[in-house]
Amino acid sequence: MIKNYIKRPPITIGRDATVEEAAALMAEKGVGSLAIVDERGRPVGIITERDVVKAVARRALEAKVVEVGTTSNLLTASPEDDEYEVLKKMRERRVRHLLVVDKEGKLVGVLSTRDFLEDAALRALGDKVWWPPPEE
Amino acid sequence: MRDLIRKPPVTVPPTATLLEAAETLTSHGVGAVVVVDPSNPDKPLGILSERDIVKAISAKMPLSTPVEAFMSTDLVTVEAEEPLSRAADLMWMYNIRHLVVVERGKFVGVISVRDLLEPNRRRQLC
Repeated sequence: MIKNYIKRPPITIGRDATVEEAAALMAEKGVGSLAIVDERGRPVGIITERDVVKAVARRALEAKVVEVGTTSNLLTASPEDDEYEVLKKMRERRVRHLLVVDKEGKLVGVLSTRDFLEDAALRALGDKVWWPPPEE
Repeated sequence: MRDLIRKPPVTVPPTATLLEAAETLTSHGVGAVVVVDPSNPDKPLGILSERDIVKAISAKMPLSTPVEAFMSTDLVTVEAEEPLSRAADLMWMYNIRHLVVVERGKFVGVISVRDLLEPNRRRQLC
């Protein structure tokens, strides 16, 4: 299940924050991307280091994070979802980040493809190969 | 590795500003530029990644700051003749995404983690 791969709480930034504030948070937390959330903690986008650099090039440090980040083609999943199905979707839609949300739509974790490249993931996928679930 | 390196490498002089470096990264669609003094193109002075730009912005450096003030000077280099697995090991070991490639001590290009992850290259690593 997806929830087994969530190792840390998501690092988020409010949708009205500026690019400069996003850069400060990325540097403070030592991360390359942040989830953009609304006032109720629901994900509305992702901003990466690359988006920050692009904004710097346009001298748009005061721009809002929702204006420079990615806000379309977001892929969400629930903590109970099956990792195999989710990975397939990530692949099909060519997205690198998965936003994991609870029943209220609140963000509880962000996973990147890299998070699946662990023994736990390989083990689970291996299990799938040997013991396909009845519904498949 | 020789076939994979970006030629010619994307470079900026040490006097380029933070703004110019961001423009160069964006216009070339790369994650790092190498800082090279035009009078000594064989010996890079440093490398500047997207992360270095983010850090400079977080430190409230003016966009006019020259890159030599915030570039990374600890260059991790690899010889063009070495196998791809060596590049992957170095990136893993130093937790970095770009390596400076040299040929007989002379700077020839950059190899990025993305270059290594390209599917038919990944096969060579395994």
